[in-house]
Amino acid sequence: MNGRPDFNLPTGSPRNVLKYWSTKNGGLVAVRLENYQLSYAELAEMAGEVAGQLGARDIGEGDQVALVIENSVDFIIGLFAIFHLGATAVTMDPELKREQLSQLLESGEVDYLLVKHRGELNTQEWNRSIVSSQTVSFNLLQRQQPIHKTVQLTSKILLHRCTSGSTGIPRHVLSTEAQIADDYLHLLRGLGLSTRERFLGIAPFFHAFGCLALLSALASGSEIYPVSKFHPGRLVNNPVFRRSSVFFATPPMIELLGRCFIDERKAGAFAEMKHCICATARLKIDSYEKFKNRFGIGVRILYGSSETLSATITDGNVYAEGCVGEPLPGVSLAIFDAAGEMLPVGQVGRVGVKSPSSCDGYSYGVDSLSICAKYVLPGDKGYVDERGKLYILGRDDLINIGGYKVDRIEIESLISDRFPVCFILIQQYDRMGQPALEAVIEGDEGALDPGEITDFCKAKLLPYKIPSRIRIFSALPRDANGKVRISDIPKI
Amino acid sequence: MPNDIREICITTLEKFITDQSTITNIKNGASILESATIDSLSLVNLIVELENSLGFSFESDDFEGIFSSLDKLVCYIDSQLS
Repeated sequence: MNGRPDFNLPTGSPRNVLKYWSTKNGGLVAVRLENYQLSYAELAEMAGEVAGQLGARDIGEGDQVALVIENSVDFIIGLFAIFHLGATAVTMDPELKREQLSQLLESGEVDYLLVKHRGELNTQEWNRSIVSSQTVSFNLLQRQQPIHKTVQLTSKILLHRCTSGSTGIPRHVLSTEAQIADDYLHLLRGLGLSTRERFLGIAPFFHAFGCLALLSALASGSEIYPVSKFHPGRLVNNPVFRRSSVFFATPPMIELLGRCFIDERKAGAFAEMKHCICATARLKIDSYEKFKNRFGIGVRILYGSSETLSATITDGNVYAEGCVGEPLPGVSLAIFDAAGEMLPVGQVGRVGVKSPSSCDGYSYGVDSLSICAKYVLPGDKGYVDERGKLYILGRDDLINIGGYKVDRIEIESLISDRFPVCFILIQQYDRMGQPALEAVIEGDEGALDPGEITDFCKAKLLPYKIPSRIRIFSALPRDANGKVRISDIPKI
Repeated sequence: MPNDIREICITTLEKFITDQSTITNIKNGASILESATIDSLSLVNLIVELENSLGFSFESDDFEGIFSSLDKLVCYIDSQLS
Protein backbone atom coordinates (compact mmCIF):
# COMPACT_ATOMS: atom_id res chain seq x y z
CA MET A 1 0.00 0.00 0.00
CA ASN A 2 2.78 2.38 -0.87
CA GLY A 3 1.32 3.86 -4.01
CA ARG A 4 1.33 7.59 -4.33
CA PRO A 5 -0.83 9.69 -6.57
CA ASP A 6 1.08 12.03 -8.85
CA PHE A 7 -1.02 15.06 -7.97
CA ASN A 8 -2.26 17.00 -4.97
CA LEU A 9 -5.53 15.68 -3.63
CA PRO A 10 -8.07 18.09 -2.21
CA THR A 11 -7.65 17.26 1.46
CA GLY A 12 -10.41 19.55 2.70
CA SER A 13 -14.09 18.80 3.02
CA PRO A 14 -15.72 16.60 0.39
CA ARG A 15 -18.26 19.42 0.09
CA ASN A 16 -15.66 21.38 -1.85
CA VAL A 17 -14.24 18.92 -4.35
CA LEU A 18 -16.19 20.33 -7.33
CA LYS A 19 -15.07 23.84 -6.47
CA TYR A 20 -11.48 22.64 -5.99
CA TRP A 21 -11.23 21.17 -9.49
CA SER A 22 -13.29 23.96 -11.05
CA THR A 23 -10.75 26.45 -9.75
CA LYS A 24 -7.81 24.37 -10.96
CA ASN A 25 -9.25 23.61 -14.37
CA GLY A 26 -12.81 24.65 -15.06
CA GLY A 27 -13.01 22.66 -18.28
CA LEU A 28 -11.98 19.38 -16.73
CA VAL A 29 -14.59 16.73 -17.53
CA ALA A 30 -16.32 15.36 -14.44
CA VAL A 31 -19.18 13.30 -15.84
CA ARG A 32 -19.36 11.64 -19.22
CA LEU A 33 -22.22 9.77 -20.81
CA GLU A 34 -22.84 8.54 -24.33
CA ASN A 35 -24.34 11.76 -25.57
CA TYR A 36 -22.91 14.50 -23.43
CA GLN A 37 -20.41 15.48 -20.80
CA LEU A 38 -20.26 17.92 -17.92
CA SER A 39 -17.19 19.70 -16.65
CA TYR A 40 -16.42 20.23 -12.98
CA ALA A 41 -17.35 23.89 -13.43
CA GLU A 42 -20.69 23.05 -15.03
CA LEU A 43 -21.47 20.47 -12.39
CA ALA A 44 -20.61 22.92 -9.61
CA GLU A 45 -22.81 25.57 -11.21
CA MET A 46 -25.79 23.21 -11.49
CA ALA A 47 -25.37 21.99 -7.93
CA GLY A 48 -25.16 25.63 -6.85
CA GLU A 49 -28.43 26.44 -8.65
CA VAL A 50 -30.26 23.57 -6.97
CA ALA A 51 -28.69 24.51 -3.64
CA GLY A 52 -29.95 28.07 -4.09
CA GLN A 53 -33.51 26.81 -4.53
CA LEU A 54 -33.23 24.47 -1.55
CA GLY A 55 -31.74 27.28 0.52
CA ALA A 56 -34.66 29.51 -0.42
CA ARG A 57 -36.85 26.95 1.36
CA ASP A 58 -34.74 27.38 4.51
CA ILE A 59 -32.83 24.14 4.11
CA GLY A 60 -29.33 24.44 5.50
CA GLU A 61 -26.92 23.31 8.18
CA GLY A 62 -28.50 20.90 10.62
CA ASP A 63 -31.09 19.68 8.11
CA GLN A 64 -31.14 16.27 6.53
CA VAL A 65 -32.17 15.80 2.92
CA ALA A 66 -32.76 12.28 1.68
CA LEU A 67 -31.60 11.53 -1.82
CA VAL A 68 -33.56 8.60 -3.29
CA ILE A 69 -32.25 8.50 -6.83
CA GLU A 70 -30.50 5.84 -8.89
CA ASN A 71 -26.97 6.37 -10.23
CA SER A 72 -27.19 9.36 -12.55
CA VAL A 73 -26.07 12.92 -13.13
CA ASP A 74 -29.13 13.91 -11.11
CA PHE A 75 -27.82 12.03 -8.10
CA ILE A 76 -24.48 13.82 -8.32
CA ILE A 77 -26.06 17.26 -8.68
CA GLY A 78 -28.50 16.57 -5.84
CA LEU A 79 -25.73 15.31 -3.59
CA PHE A 80 -23.49 18.30 -4.13
CA ALA A 81 -26.42 20.69 -3.78
CA ILE A 82 -27.00 19.25 -0.30
CA PHE A 83 -23.27 19.43 0.41
CA HIS A 84 -23.22 23.03 -0.78
CA LEU A 85 -25.79 24.00 1.86
CA GLY A 86 -23.89 22.43 4.75
CA ALA A 87 -26.78 20.01 5.20
CA THR A 88 -26.54 16.24 5.67
CA ALA A 89 -27.29 13.99 2.70
CA VAL A 90 -29.22 10.81 3.51
CA THR A 91 -28.51 8.46 0.62
CA MET A 92 -31.18 5.79 0.29
CA ASP A 93 -31.91 2.83 -1.93
CA PRO A 94 -34.33 3.90 -4.69
CA GLU A 95 -35.70 0.36 -4.77
CA LEU A 96 -37.01 0.59 -1.20
CA LYS A 97 -40.70 -0.03 -0.92
CA ARG A 98 -42.78 2.95 0.10
CA GLU A 99 -43.41 1.55 3.58
CA GLN A 100 -39.72 0.84 4.20
CA LEU A 101 -38.75 4.26 2.95
CA SER A 102 -41.30 5.92 5.17
CA GLN A 103 -40.07 4.01 8.24
CA LEU A 104 -36.44 4.87 7.60
CA LEU A 105 -37.23 8.54 7.08
CA GLU A 106 -39.16 8.60 10.31
CA SER A 107 -36.63 6.68 12.41
CA GLY A 108 -33.84 8.77 10.90
CA GLU A 109 -35.69 12.05 11.63
CA VAL A 110 -35.57 13.18 8.01
CA ASP A 111 -37.90 15.99 6.91
CA TYR A 112 -36.80 16.53 3.30
CA LEU A 113 -36.59 14.25 0.31
CA LEU A 114 -35.22 14.79 -3.19
CA VAL A 115 -36.69 12.36 -5.71
CA LYS A 116 -37.31 12.15 -9.42
CA HIS A 117 -40.89 10.95 -9.17
CA ARG A 118 -43.67 12.05 -6.89
CA GLY A 119 -45.03 8.63 -5.99
CA GLU A 120 -42.43 7.68 -3.38
CA LEU A 121 -44.45 8.77 -0.36
CA ASN A 122 -47.91 9.53 0.86
CA THR A 123 -48.32 13.09 -0.39
CA GLN A 124 -50.89 13.86 2.27
CA GLU A 125 -48.05 13.99 4.77
CA TRP A 126 -45.57 15.69 2.48
CA ASN A 127 -45.63 18.95 0.57
CA ARG A 128 -44.21 18.81 -2.92
CA SER A 129 -42.39 21.42 -4.94
CA ILE A 130 -40.05 21.42 -7.91
CA VAL A 131 -36.39 22.37 -7.82
CA SER A 132 -34.36 22.42 -10.99
CA SER A 133 -31.23 23.55 -12.75
CA GLN A 134 -30.48 23.89 -16.47
CA THR A 135 -30.67 20.17 -17.14
CA VAL A 136 -32.17 18.45 -14.11
CA SER A 137 -35.38 18.67 -12.19
CA PHE A 138 -36.27 17.18 -8.83
CA ASN A 139 -39.33 16.78 -6.71
CA LEU A 140 -38.64 18.15 -3.26
CA LEU A 141 -40.89 16.58 -0.65
CA GLN A 142 -41.09 18.33 2.69
CA ARG A 143 -42.74 16.80 5.71
CA GLN A 144 -45.78 18.83 6.70
CA GLN A 145 -45.19 18.20 10.39
CA PRO A 146 -41.44 18.20 11.08
CA ILE A 147 -40.21 15.37 13.28
CA HIS A 148 -38.90 16.23 16.74
CA LYS A 149 -35.12 15.98 16.55
CA THR A 150 -33.27 13.92 19.13
CA VAL A 151 -29.93 14.44 17.37
CA GLN A 152 -28.66 17.92 16.57
CA LEU A 153 -26.54 17.88 13.45
CA THR A 154 -23.88 20.31 12.31
CA SER A 155 -22.27 20.86 8.94
CA LYS A 156 -19.54 18.43 10.02
CA ILE A 157 -22.00 15.58 9.46
CA LEU A 158 -21.84 14.96 5.76
CA LEU A 159 -23.66 11.70 5.15
CA HIS A 160 -26.30 9.59 6.82
CA ARG A 161 -26.70 6.01 5.65
CA CYS A 162 -29.12 3.33 6.67
CA THR A 163 -27.82 -0.18 7.01
CA SER A 164 -29.64 -3.30 8.01
CA GLY A 165 -26.33 -4.81 9.11
CA SER A 166 -26.44 -8.38 10.33
CA THR A 167 -29.64 -8.01 12.29
CA GLY A 168 -32.08 -7.02 9.58
CA ILE A 169 -33.05 -4.08 11.78
CA PRO A 170 -32.22 -0.66 10.29
CA ARG A 171 -29.27 1.14 11.77
CA HIS A 172 -28.36 4.70 11.07
CA VAL A 173 -24.73 5.60 10.51
CA LEU A 174 -23.66 9.24 10.46
CA SER A 175 -20.34 10.04 8.80
CA THR A 176 -18.42 13.25 9.21
CA GLU A 177 -16.69 15.17 6.46
CA ALA A 178 -13.33 14.00 7.82
CA GLN A 179 -14.36 10.33 7.89
CA ILE A 180 -15.63 10.41 4.31
CA ALA A 181 -12.59 12.34 3.09
CA ASP A 182 -10.29 9.87 4.77
CA ASP A 183 -12.18 7.00 3.13
CA TYR A 184 -11.41 8.15 -0.40
CA LEU A 185 -8.03 9.65 0.41
CA HIS A 186 -6.61 6.45 1.83
CA LEU A 187 -8.03 4.47 -1.08
CA LEU A 188 -6.62 6.84 -3.69
CA ARG A 189 -3.26 6.83 -1.95
CA GLY A 190 -3.36 3.05 -1.56
CA LEU A 191 -4.08 2.57 -5.24
CA GLY A 192 -1.70 5.28 -6.36
CA LEU A 193 -4.28 6.62 -8.76
CA SER A 194 -3.47 9.52 -10.98
CA THR A 195 -5.82 12.30 -11.96
CA ARG A 196 -7.90 11.96 -15.13
CA GLU A 197 -8.91 8.38 -14.47
CA ARG A 198 -12.20 7.13 -15.91
CA PHE A 199 -14.41 5.59 -13.25
CA LEU A 200 -17.26 3.30 -14.14
CA GLY A 201 -19.93 4.37 -11.69
CA ILE A 202 -22.18 1.36 -11.50
CA ALA A 203 -22.00 0.31 -7.85
CA PRO A 204 -25.01 2.02 -6.25
CA PHE A 205 -24.09 5.52 -5.13
CA PHE A 206 -26.43 5.37 -2.14
CA HIS A 207 -24.29 2.57 -0.69
CA ALA A 208 -20.96 3.25 1.04
CA PHE A 209 -19.04 1.34 -1.64
CA GLY A 210 -20.65 3.11 -4.58
CA CYS A 211 -20.36 6.44 -2.85
CA LEU A 212 -16.66 5.74 -2.36
CA ALA A 213 -16.35 5.24 -6.12
CA LEU A 214 -18.18 8.49 -6.84
CA LEU A 215 -16.26 10.61 -4.36
CA SER A 216 -12.91 9.00 -5.25
CA ALA A 217 -13.54 9.91 -8.87
CA LEU A 218 -14.49 13.50 -8.16
CA ALA A 219 -11.87 14.05 -5.47
CA SER A 220 -9.15 12.89 -7.84
CA GLY A 221 -10.26 15.13 -10.69
CA SER A 222 -11.26 12.10 -12.73
CA GLU A 223 -14.25 11.37 -14.93
CA ILE A 224 -17.13 9.24 -13.78
CA TYR A 225 -19.61 7.42 -15.98
CA PRO A 226 -22.79 7.00 -13.94
CA VAL A 227 -24.70 3.85 -14.86
CA SER A 228 -28.10 3.17 -13.36
CA LYS A 229 -28.73 -0.39 -14.50
CA PHE A 230 -26.20 -3.15 -14.69
CA HIS A 231 -26.24 -5.01 -17.96
CA PRO A 232 -22.92 -6.66 -18.83
CA GLY A 233 -23.43 -6.56 -22.59
CA ARG A 234 -24.06 -2.83 -22.51
CA LEU A 235 -20.92 -2.23 -20.47
CA VAL A 236 -18.60 -4.11 -22.77
CA ASN A 237 -20.16 -2.74 -25.95
CA ASN A 238 -20.68 0.88 -24.96
CA PRO A 239 -17.86 3.02 -26.42
CA VAL A 240 -17.67 5.15 -23.27
CA PHE A 241 -17.98 2.48 -20.61
CA ARG A 242 -15.55 0.06 -22.26
CA ARG A 243 -12.80 2.68 -21.90
CA SER A 244 -13.09 2.77 -18.11
CA SER A 245 -9.86 2.62 -16.16
CA VAL A 246 -11.34 2.11 -12.68
CA PHE A 247 -14.31 -0.13 -11.98
CA PHE A 248 -16.00 -0.61 -8.61
CA ALA A 249 -18.00 -3.82 -8.92
CA THR A 250 -19.99 -6.27 -6.86
CA PRO A 251 -19.41 -10.05 -7.10
CA PRO A 252 -22.47 -10.69 -9.32
CA MET A 253 -21.18 -8.06 -11.76
CA ILE A 254 -17.79 -9.79 -11.97
CA GLU A 255 -19.44 -13.17 -12.38
CA LEU A 256 -21.78 -12.00 -15.16
CA LEU A 257 -19.10 -10.05 -17.01
CA GLY A 258 -16.97 -13.18 -17.01
CA ARG A 259 -19.59 -15.22 -18.85
CA CYS A 260 -21.73 -12.76 -20.82
CA PHE A 261 -21.91 -12.84 -24.60
CA ILE A 262 -19.32 -10.63 -26.29
CA ASP A 263 -19.44 -10.09 -30.00
CA GLU A 264 -15.98 -10.85 -31.42
CA ARG A 265 -16.20 -7.67 -33.47
CA LYS A 266 -16.39 -5.74 -30.23
CA ALA A 267 -13.47 -7.32 -28.42
CA GLY A 268 -11.09 -5.15 -26.44
CA ALA A 269 -13.44 -3.93 -23.74
CA PHE A 270 -11.74 -2.75 -20.55
CA ALA A 271 -8.36 -2.85 -22.26
CA GLU A 272 -7.43 0.35 -20.43
CA MET A 273 -8.63 -0.81 -17.04
CA LYS A 274 -6.11 -0.36 -14.23
CA HIS A 275 -8.17 -1.33 -11.22
CA CYS A 276 -11.24 -3.49 -10.87
CA ILE A 277 -12.29 -3.33 -7.24
CA CYS A 278 -14.88 -5.70 -5.85
CA ALA A 279 -16.65 -5.49 -2.51
CA THR A 280 -19.87 -6.13 -0.57
CA ALA A 281 -19.70 -9.93 -0.59
CA ARG A 282 -17.40 -12.86 -1.23
CA LEU A 283 -16.10 -13.27 -4.77
CA LYS A 284 -15.83 -16.85 -5.96
CA ILE A 285 -12.58 -18.05 -7.49
CA ASP A 286 -14.39 -19.15 -10.63
CA SER A 287 -15.73 -15.61 -11.16
CA TYR A 288 -12.30 -14.12 -10.46
CA GLU A 289 -10.59 -16.38 -12.98
CA LYS A 290 -13.13 -16.00 -15.76
CA PHE A 291 -13.01 -12.21 -15.46
CA LYS A 292 -9.21 -12.21 -15.42
CA ASN A 293 -8.95 -14.56 -18.38
CA ARG A 294 -11.42 -12.52 -20.39
CA PHE A 295 -10.28 -8.98 -19.59
CA GLY A 296 -6.69 -9.55 -18.51
CA ILE A 297 -7.03 -7.86 -15.15
CA GLY A 298 -7.15 -9.35 -11.68
CA VAL A 299 -10.00 -8.23 -9.46
CA ARG A 300 -8.91 -6.43 -6.30
CA ILE A 301 -11.03 -7.31 -3.29
CA LEU A 302 -11.91 -4.46 -0.97
CA TYR A 303 -13.04 -5.16 2.57
CA GLY A 304 -15.01 -2.74 4.66
CA SER A 305 -18.39 -2.08 6.18
CA SER A 306 -20.87 0.73 6.62
CA GLU A 307 -19.37 1.29 10.06
CA THR A 308 -15.66 1.25 9.17
CA LEU A 309 -15.85 2.21 5.49
CA SER A 310 -13.01 0.86 3.35
CA ALA A 311 -10.36 -0.97 5.32
CA THR A 312 -8.27 -3.42 3.30
CA ILE A 313 -7.60 -4.29 -0.33
CA THR A 314 -5.85 -7.05 -2.25
CA ASP A 315 -3.38 -6.44 -5.06
CA GLY A 316 -5.51 -8.48 -7.47
CA ASN A 317 -2.62 -10.57 -8.76
CA VAL A 318 -3.50 -13.79 -6.99
CA TYR A 319 -6.74 -15.08 -5.60
CA ALA A 320 -6.57 -16.63 -2.17
CA GLU A 321 -9.76 -17.93 -0.59
CA GLY A 322 -10.98 -15.49 2.04
CA CYS A 323 -8.08 -13.09 1.61
CA VAL A 324 -9.11 -9.43 1.59
CA GLY A 325 -5.60 -8.04 1.51
CA GLU A 326 -3.65 -5.51 3.49
CA PRO A 327 -4.89 -2.47 5.37
CA LEU A 328 -5.21 0.76 3.43
CA PRO A 329 -2.93 3.59 4.59
CA GLY A 330 -3.92 4.75 8.07
CA VAL A 331 -5.93 1.61 8.85
CA SER A 332 -4.96 -0.92 11.54
CA LEU A 333 -6.29 -4.42 12.06
CA ALA A 334 -6.52 -6.59 15.13
CA ILE A 335 -8.16 -9.89 15.94
CA PHE A 336 -9.96 -10.36 19.23
CA ASP A 337 -11.26 -13.31 21.15
CA ALA A 338 -14.68 -13.44 22.79
CA ALA A 339 -13.27 -11.87 25.95
CA GLY A 340 -11.89 -8.91 24.03
CA GLU A 341 -8.27 -10.00 24.21
CA MET A 342 -6.13 -9.26 21.18
CA LEU A 343 -5.00 -12.46 19.47
CA PRO A 344 -1.60 -13.12 17.87
CA VAL A 345 -0.93 -13.55 14.15
CA GLY A 346 -2.62 -16.56 12.63
CA GLN A 347 -5.26 -17.06 15.30
CA VAL A 348 -8.90 -16.88 14.33
CA GLY A 349 -11.17 -14.44 16.10
CA ARG A 350 -13.26 -11.35 15.64
CA VAL A 351 -11.93 -8.88 13.14
CA GLY A 352 -11.31 -5.38 14.48
CA VAL A 353 -10.68 -2.31 12.32
CA LYS A 354 -9.20 0.94 13.57
CA SER A 355 -9.53 3.66 10.98
CA PRO A 356 -10.05 7.42 10.88
CA SER A 357 -13.02 6.59 8.65
CA SER A 358 -14.83 4.49 11.26
CA CYS A 359 -17.97 5.87 12.82
CA ASP A 360 -18.29 6.23 16.58
CA GLY A 361 -21.62 4.48 16.94
CA TYR A 362 -25.12 4.19 15.59
CA SER A 363 -27.58 7.06 15.76
CA TYR A 364 -31.34 7.18 16.10
CA GLY A 365 -31.73 3.78 17.71
CA VAL A 366 -30.99 1.44 20.56
CA ASP A 367 -28.37 -0.67 18.81
CA SER A 368 -24.81 -0.17 19.98
CA LEU A 369 -21.70 -0.49 17.87
CA SER A 370 -19.25 -3.22 18.88
CA ILE A 371 -15.93 -1.61 19.75
CA CYS A 372 -12.94 -3.26 21.39
CA ALA A 373 -9.81 -1.29 22.36
CA LYS A 374 -10.85 1.43 19.87
CA TYR A 375 -11.20 -1.15 17.10
CA VAL A 376 -14.63 -1.37 15.50
CA LEU A 377 -15.83 -4.96 15.15
CA PRO A 378 -17.87 -5.27 11.96
CA GLY A 379 -18.94 -8.78 13.02
CA ASP A 380 -16.63 -10.88 10.91
CA LYS A 381 -14.52 -13.86 11.89
CA GLY A 382 -11.00 -14.05 10.50
CA TYR A 383 -7.29 -13.86 11.04
CA VAL A 384 -4.23 -11.90 9.96
CA ASP A 385 -1.31 -13.82 8.50
CA GLU A 386 2.38 -13.17 9.06
CA ARG A 387 2.48 -10.81 6.04
CA GLY A 388 -0.30 -8.68 7.49
CA LYS A 389 -2.99 -9.88 5.12
CA LEU A 390 -6.49 -10.27 6.47
CA TYR A 391 -8.54 -13.40 5.83
CA ILE A 392 -12.28 -13.39 6.39
CA LEU A 393 -13.78 -16.75 7.29
CA GLY A 394 -17.37 -15.61 7.65
CA ARG A 395 -19.63 -14.05 10.23
CA ASP A 396 -19.47 -15.52 13.66
CA ASP A 397 -21.91 -13.31 15.42
CA LEU A 398 -25.24 -14.34 14.03
CA ILE A 399 -27.82 -16.39 15.85
CA ASN A 400 -31.14 -17.05 14.21
CA ILE A 401 -33.94 -16.76 16.74
CA GLY A 402 -37.32 -17.42 15.25
CA GLY A 403 -36.30 -15.85 11.95
CA TYR A 404 -34.57 -12.88 13.53
CA LYS A 405 -30.84 -12.67 13.12
CA VAL A 406 -29.24 -11.70 16.40
CA ASP A 407 -25.80 -10.10 16.56
CA ARG A 408 -24.25 -11.81 19.56
CA ILE A 409 -21.34 -9.37 19.69
CA GLU A 410 -23.72 -6.49 20.16
CA ILE A 411 -25.29 -8.11 23.22
CA GLU A 412 -21.98 -9.27 24.65
CA SER A 413 -20.45 -5.82 24.28
CA LEU A 414 -23.45 -4.12 25.80
CA ILE A 415 -23.39 -6.30 28.93
CA SER A 416 -19.63 -6.38 29.36
CA ASP A 417 -19.43 -2.60 29.02
CA ARG A 418 -21.94 -2.15 31.84
CA PHE A 419 -21.17 -5.01 34.25
CA PRO A 420 -17.91 -6.36 35.72
CA VAL A 421 -17.74 -9.56 33.70
CA CYS A 422 -14.55 -11.51 33.00
CA PHE A 423 -16.06 -13.43 30.13
CA ILE A 424 -19.42 -13.45 28.40
CA LEU A 425 -20.90 -15.67 25.75
CA ILE A 426 -24.30 -15.24 24.14
CA GLN A 427 -25.50 -18.53 22.75
CA GLN A 428 -28.61 -20.33 21.69
CA TYR A 429 -30.38 -22.94 23.81
CA ASP A 430 -33.51 -24.97 23.47
CA ARG A 431 -36.44 -23.69 25.49
CA MET A 432 -39.38 -26.08 25.26
CA GLY A 433 -38.54 -26.90 21.67
CA GLN A 434 -37.98 -23.28 20.65
CA PRO A 435 -34.64 -21.51 20.13
CA ALA A 436 -33.84 -18.89 22.78
CA LEU A 437 -30.86 -16.86 23.90
CA GLU A 438 -28.81 -17.33 27.01
CA ALA A 439 -25.93 -15.34 28.45
CA VAL A 440 -23.12 -17.33 30.04
CA ILE A 441 -21.09 -15.02 32.23
CA GLU A 442 -17.93 -15.50 34.23
CA GLY A 443 -17.50 -13.04 37.07
CA ASP A 444 -18.04 -12.35 40.75
CA GLU A 445 -21.32 -14.07 41.49
CA GLY A 446 -21.94 -11.72 44.41
CA ALA A 447 -21.57 -8.61 42.20
CA LEU A 448 -23.67 -9.81 39.30
CA ASP A 449 -27.45 -9.96 39.55
CA PRO A 450 -29.21 -11.78 36.66
CA GLY A 451 -32.36 -9.72 37.25
CA GLU A 452 -30.44 -6.46 36.99
CA ILE A 453 -28.72 -7.61 33.79
CA THR A 454 -32.08 -8.59 32.31
CA ASP A 455 -33.61 -5.22 33.20
CA PHE A 456 -30.65 -3.45 31.62
CA CYS A 457 -31.03 -5.49 28.44
CA LYS A 458 -34.75 -4.74 28.33
CA ALA A 459 -33.96 -1.03 28.41
CA LYS A 460 -31.33 -1.21 25.70
CA LEU A 461 -32.24 -4.01 23.32
CA LEU A 462 -35.05 -4.99 21.05
CA PRO A 463 -37.21 -7.73 22.64
CA TYR A 464 -35.90 -10.64 20.58
CA LYS A 465 -32.31 -9.80 21.56
CA ILE A 466 -32.87 -10.03 25.31
CA PRO A 467 -31.38 -13.22 26.79
CA SER A 468 -34.15 -15.24 28.38
CA ARG A 469 -31.67 -17.08 30.61
CA ILE A 470 -28.58 -15.79 32.35
CA ARG A 471 -26.09 -18.11 34.02
CA ILE A 472 -23.25 -16.74 36.11
CA PHE A 473 -20.14 -18.73 37.00
CA SER A 474 -17.27 -17.73 39.25
CA ALA A 475 -14.93 -19.73 36.99
CA LEU A 476 -15.34 -21.37 33.63
CA PRO A 477 -13.23 -24.24 32.28
CA ARG A 478 -10.15 -22.92 30.47
CA ASP A 479 -7.36 -24.42 28.42
CA ALA A 480 -3.62 -24.14 29.00
CA ASN A 481 -3.55 -20.72 27.33
CA GLY A 482 -6.28 -19.45 29.61
CA LYS A 483 -8.98 -19.47 26.98
CA VAL A 484 -12.47 -20.57 27.94
CA ARG A 485 -13.34 -24.03 26.64
CA ILE A 486 -16.80 -23.26 25.37
CA SER A 487 -17.58 -26.89 24.65
CA ASP A 488 -16.96 -27.67 28.33
CA ILE A 489 -19.32 -25.05 29.74
CA PRO A 490 -21.75 -26.95 31.99
CA LYS A 491 -25.05 -27.79 30.32
CA ILE A 492 -28.39 -27.65 32.08
CA MET B 1 -36.86 -18.21 -37.10
CA PRO B 2 -39.18 -16.45 -34.61
CA ASN B 3 -40.55 -19.84 -33.62
CA ASP B 4 -37.04 -21.06 -32.84
CA ILE B 5 -36.40 -17.92 -30.84
CA ARG B 6 -39.67 -18.40 -29.02
CA GLU B 7 -38.72 -21.96 -28.05
CA ILE B 8 -35.30 -20.86 -26.81
CA CYS B 9 -36.89 -18.04 -24.81
CA ILE B 10 -39.31 -20.43 -23.16
CA THR B 11 -36.59 -22.97 -22.40
CA THR B 12 -34.47 -20.18 -20.88
CA LEU B 13 -37.38 -18.80 -18.89
CA GLU B 14 -38.03 -22.25 -17.49
CA LYS B 15 -34.58 -22.19 -15.89
CA PHE B 16 -35.60 -19.14 -13.90
CA ILE B 17 -39.28 -19.84 -13.33
CA THR B 18 -40.13 -23.25 -11.95
CA ASP B 19 -43.83 -22.58 -11.57
CA GLN B 20 -45.46 -24.08 -14.69
CA SER B 21 -48.63 -22.03 -14.33
CA THR B 22 -46.55 -18.86 -14.58
CA ILE B 23 -44.88 -20.18 -17.73
CA THR B 24 -48.32 -20.95 -19.16
CA ASN B 25 -49.49 -17.41 -18.36
CA ILE B 26 -46.43 -15.98 -20.09
CA LYS B 27 -47.05 -18.14 -23.13
CA ASN B 28 -50.58 -16.74 -23.15
CA GLY B 29 -49.37 -13.16 -23.20
CA ALA B 30 -48.76 -12.21 -19.57
CA SER B 31 -45.91 -9.85 -18.75
CA ILE B 32 -42.68 -11.70 -17.99
CA LEU B 33 -41.61 -9.18 -15.37
CA GLU B 34 -44.99 -9.01 -13.68
CA SER B 35 -45.79 -12.69 -13.88
CA ALA B 36 -42.60 -14.04 -12.49
CA THR B 37 -40.63 -13.58 -9.35
CA ILE B 38 -37.78 -12.04 -11.30
CA ASP B 39 -35.81 -9.46 -9.40
CA SER B 40 -33.30 -7.14 -11.01
CA LEU B 41 -30.39 -9.57 -10.62
CA SER B 42 -32.25 -12.56 -12.03
CA LEU B 43 -33.38 -10.40 -14.93
CA VAL B 44 -29.73 -9.68 -15.75
CA ASN B 45 -28.98 -13.39 -15.47
CA LEU B 46 -31.87 -14.13 -17.81
CA ILE B 47 -30.60 -11.57 -20.31
CA VAL B 48 -27.08 -13.04 -20.23
CA GLU B 49 -28.50 -16.51 -20.70
CA LEU B 50 -30.53 -15.39 -23.73
CA GLU B 51 -27.56 -13.54 -25.22
CA ASN B 52 -25.32 -16.58 -24.86
CA SER B 53 -27.97 -18.96 -26.22
CA LEU B 54 -28.73 -16.85 -29.27
CA GLY B 55 -25.42 -15.04 -29.82
CA PHE B 56 -26.49 -11.43 -29.67
CA SER B 57 -26.40 -8.46 -27.30
CA PHE B 58 -29.29 -6.48 -25.93
CA GLU B 59 -28.67 -2.96 -27.20
CA SER B 60 -31.62 -1.38 -25.43
CA ASP B 61 -32.08 -0.50 -21.77
CA ASP B 62 -35.86 -0.63 -22.11
CA PHE B 63 -36.19 -3.94 -20.31
CA GLU B 64 -39.65 -3.09 -19.02
CA GLY B 65 -40.88 -2.78 -22.60
CA ILE B 66 -39.00 -5.74 -24.04
CA PHE B 67 -40.01 -8.11 -21.25
CA SER B 68 -43.60 -6.92 -21.11
CA SER B 69 -44.61 -10.01 -23.10
CA LEU B 70 -43.09 -13.07 -24.73
CA ASP B 71 -44.13 -11.79 -28.16
CA LYS B 72 -42.30 -8.51 -27.62
CA LEU B 73 -39.22 -10.32 -26.38
CA VAL B 74 -39.20 -12.61 -29.43
CA CYS B 75 -39.80 -9.67 -31.74
CA TYR B 76 -36.94 -7.69 -30.20
CA ILE B 77 -34.49 -10.60 -30.41
CA ASP B 78 -35.51 -11.31 -33.98
CA SER B 79 -34.83 -7.69 -34.91
CA GLN B 80 -31.41 -7.87 -33.28
CA LEU B 81 -30.47 -11.06 -35.08
CA SER B 82 -31.64 -10.04 -38.54
